[in-house]
Amino acid sequence: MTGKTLALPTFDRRDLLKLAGATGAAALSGLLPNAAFAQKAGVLRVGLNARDMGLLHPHVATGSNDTPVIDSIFSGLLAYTPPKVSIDAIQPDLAERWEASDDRKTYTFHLRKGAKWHKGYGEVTAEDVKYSLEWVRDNPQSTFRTIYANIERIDTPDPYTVVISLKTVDPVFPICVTNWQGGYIICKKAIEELGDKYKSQPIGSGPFQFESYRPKESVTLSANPDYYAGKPKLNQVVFSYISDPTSARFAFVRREVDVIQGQPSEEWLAEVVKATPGGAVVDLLGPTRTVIIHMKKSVKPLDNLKVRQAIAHAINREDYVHFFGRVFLPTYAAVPPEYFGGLTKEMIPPELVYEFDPDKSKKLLAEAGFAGGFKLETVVSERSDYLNLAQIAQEQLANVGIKLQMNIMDHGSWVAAIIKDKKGSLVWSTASRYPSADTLIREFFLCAADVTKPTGVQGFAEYCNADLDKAYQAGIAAFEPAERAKFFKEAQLLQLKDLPAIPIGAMATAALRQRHVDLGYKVEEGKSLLSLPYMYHLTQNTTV
Amino acid sequence: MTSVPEPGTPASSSQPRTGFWPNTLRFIARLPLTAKIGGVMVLLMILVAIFAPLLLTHDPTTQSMIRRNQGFSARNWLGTDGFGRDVYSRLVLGARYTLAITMTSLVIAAALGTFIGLAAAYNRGGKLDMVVVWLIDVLMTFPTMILGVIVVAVLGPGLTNVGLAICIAFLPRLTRMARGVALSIVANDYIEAARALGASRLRIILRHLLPNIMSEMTAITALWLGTGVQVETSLSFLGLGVQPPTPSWGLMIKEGIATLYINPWPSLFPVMAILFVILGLNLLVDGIQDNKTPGMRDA
Repeated sequence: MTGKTLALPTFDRRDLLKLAGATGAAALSGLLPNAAFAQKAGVLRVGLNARDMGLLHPHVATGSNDTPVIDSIFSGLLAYTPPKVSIDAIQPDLAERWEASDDRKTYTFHLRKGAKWHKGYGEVTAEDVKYSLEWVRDNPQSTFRTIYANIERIDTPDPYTVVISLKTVDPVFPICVTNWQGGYIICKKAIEELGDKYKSQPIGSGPFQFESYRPKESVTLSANPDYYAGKPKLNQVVFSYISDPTSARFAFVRREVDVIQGQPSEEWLAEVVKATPGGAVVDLLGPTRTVIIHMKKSVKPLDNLKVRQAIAHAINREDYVHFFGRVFLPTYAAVPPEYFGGLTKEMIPPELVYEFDPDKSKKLLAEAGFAGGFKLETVVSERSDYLNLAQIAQEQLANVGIKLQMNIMDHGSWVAAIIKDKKGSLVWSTASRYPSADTLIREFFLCAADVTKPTGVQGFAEYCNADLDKAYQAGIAAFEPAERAKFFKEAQLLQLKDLPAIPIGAMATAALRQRHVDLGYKVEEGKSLLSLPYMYHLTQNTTV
Repeated sequence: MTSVPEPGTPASSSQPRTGFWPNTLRFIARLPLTAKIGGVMVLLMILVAIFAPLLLTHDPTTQSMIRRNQGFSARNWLGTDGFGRDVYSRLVLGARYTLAITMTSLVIAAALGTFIGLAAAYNRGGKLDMVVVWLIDVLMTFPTMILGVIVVAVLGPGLTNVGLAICIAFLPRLTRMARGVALSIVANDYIEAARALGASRLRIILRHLLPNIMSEMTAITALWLGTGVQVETSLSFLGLGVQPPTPSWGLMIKEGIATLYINPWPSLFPVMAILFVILGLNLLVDGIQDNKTPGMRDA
């Protein structure tokens, strides 16, 4: 036998300690997504509050996990000038100028020459714009079909001119071709070549192009060298998925990410800023999410107006302010004051302002025949923002004798329960939209929005008032902004009179950035920063 | 039994008195110190759970948004949580929910398990025994926690359902124990003798088998209590147990996590309470078992 001896590894105590240390470090790093966490020059690292990517087709995606990524890849014909989002802050993007006919039924856009698609897909032409708008209007997969249904015809007299004819007058149509949702222009050639793959490997014309995707970990974008406004100053943007708030905090405090979405709590934000070496910048992004409690008409006794009024008077908005801090602003109408057509408390007749008044609440309950209170059961999402809103209300309702039993479920199941299964007697909604009253009224209060109808959107209260529909239609067709606002106000007051839902506040989306992140545009101290994708809008001038 | 001395034998002063209380006291006195400490810990928690309503300083569900995350004070002994609720009062009432649910379900599981186990053991090799053993084997492949989650997932969350889940999760374990212990007794001559005398099946099970496995079953049930507390708090922590605003230790930990970096106490106190109960139970049961089977000590 050739005396081959097995070389058994030997350990001394120090080796073991090293091993233990290494294992511990590995275990710790395993807690966090580890893609490109090491600081590299010119790389912006963004932590997204989500488990994974959904899909990156701008005309389909709505989730806050995807919109920040889409926003960096795609451009619209026009763009909002950051940090603003409003019709009077629109600037040229793929279109360098545009004209509207006097009757506001025909819009002509003149495209910029030399704007290129990513990865050699050629120039952005009128043909792409036509294809894109027809896709969002007609394709069954499009999420925003109804918003674009008003487009009758799109003509392309030459490769740099697009003429859009509308069925009915729309004085604010440019919003529909601005950089958000259906307004992002998609690439005809790329879709025809890539087919379904386009949803996960999008080709856009924005400052950053798609580079790679690691499931449940990250999406990496790189600078678009052919961007018409010049090559972006950042080389790369890495979006990592960190769904657990504690992990996100940890990654941010250890400066492993430059930007995160924060929790809706002033205390939480303050603690993270304090714990981050060198401090951090907190921005409360708008448009704010309007917080509404919908009361389902088909659940007794919520069909009784007095009961609904009693619930409204039982809600104390001050409690929410104490709980969330300045992230929460009390409101008394469904559309927050910062939105076009939104109402401040002073603009509402006093009899329609539902202030906290437990005595009045109990009196109304007694008049409705529920002097001893009643029991109610509902479903609530376990996501902390929803659960906190509901738990505070649960206690406030208990004080007037309404015993609310909550069945808490995970967020996905809850969304399915309230939309598909039409469950939930009280439904909390928090919605941020393009800041104009029509978006929220259309989704929550029109007859067609009733969840039980085939056209249903988010009308959780199963409410329908033909007069409100009429006011809304008059509003969206009105030329003058003052007149539009008047009709939107009328619709909101009708909603407050019938009270299918109680508006309680507007919540900002908190975002945190390290001090070395320069967004590339000026954010005035104390002024609100508006950004539709629930995250900072990145530009070619953004640096780290 | 009687403690009256037989006539003719002189009453010895050294002869120990017998009877329930003297026996129990002597049993306790013989326990190791650790078991005594464990016993006091468990007893304390049981007393807290029983007298919880008298010990409350605040309504445990009343929120106060202006007194959120307060530190320790004369008004709120253990501070307040993220909703401004009194942590001490929630902890005390939480003890009641946690212990009551766990103990009730375990006692029910033990009673059922003992009866099924005895019946199976007496019919050893019979059809009933085969079915019981097969069922136990199937159910035992699931860890208690998983079994609990499955039951709650089917029945939905809530107080009674969690109790039922614990009961079902522990039933196979307790049944197997009862059957095992009873099997060793069934083989004894006095069982054979009873059968020969014409005693009915039920009589043998209740009069001869049951008393002989009672002490074993009590100790085992007590031992599983710690695991039961763990299952209950874990289910609550996962949001499957008692629903808010009712306090329960698991739920308190879950709710406290949101403010962990700002105010860790609302989460830490229930953790300490769970540790206290489980430690107490383990010390007590370990000591009792060591005492009963000295050979097992340090085994």
